[in-house]
Amino acid sequence: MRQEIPAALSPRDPSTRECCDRTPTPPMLHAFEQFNRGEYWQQHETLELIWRAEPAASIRNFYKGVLQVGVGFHHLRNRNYRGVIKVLGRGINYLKPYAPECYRVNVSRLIDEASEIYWRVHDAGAEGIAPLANIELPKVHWKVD
Amino acid sequence: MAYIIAEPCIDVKDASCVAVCPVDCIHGGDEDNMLYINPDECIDCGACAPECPVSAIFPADQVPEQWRSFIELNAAYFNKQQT
Repeated sequence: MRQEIPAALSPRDPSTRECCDRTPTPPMLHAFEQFNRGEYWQQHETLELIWRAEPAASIRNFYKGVLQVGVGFHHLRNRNYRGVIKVLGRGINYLKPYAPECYRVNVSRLIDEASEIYWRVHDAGAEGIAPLANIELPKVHWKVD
Repeated sequence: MAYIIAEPCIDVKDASCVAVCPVDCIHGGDEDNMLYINPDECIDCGACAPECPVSAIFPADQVPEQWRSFIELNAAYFNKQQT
């Protein structure tokens, strides 16, 4: 059993599930498509706009969680060990209050699969990150009803 | 490359930049007299720069000559934390 990922989160917004029954908006769908195509920098740009425009504080960390998981993958592609550990770890922890699903996204699956990547990178260390830089990375999956 | 916080932030620490950073890469404790951007975490989106009321934030390759030392200062702040 792995220990908790030690990534401190911003206390700025409360994370609650009160908005999780919403349907994804077209910009969100676009961001998830970018994420799933491996366009991690672009998904960050799209989700950043959604995050900044969101008036409901309780859901903002959901966007930030997906965004930071994607940025963690961006850092992995660039063999940036410390960037992966910090940002991917934070993204995973931001998503945890929104499991098992939110906005019809299978959050539990994303957390589990992203955590697997986190620990692989963690165990490889900065010197061992190169062989992991091009591995297949998790995608955003929809909850199956 | 990352964004860099330079001298105008000293003793200001307005922190408007912190609120708009989507990757939470801007840090600084109560004991610090300025804020710092972690170059390992920054994704170069530039969201922070226009929020700064004292124009202290620059892309690393556009830091004014007199504040170039702050590039190393930002990185050193985080290296020190990891030792």
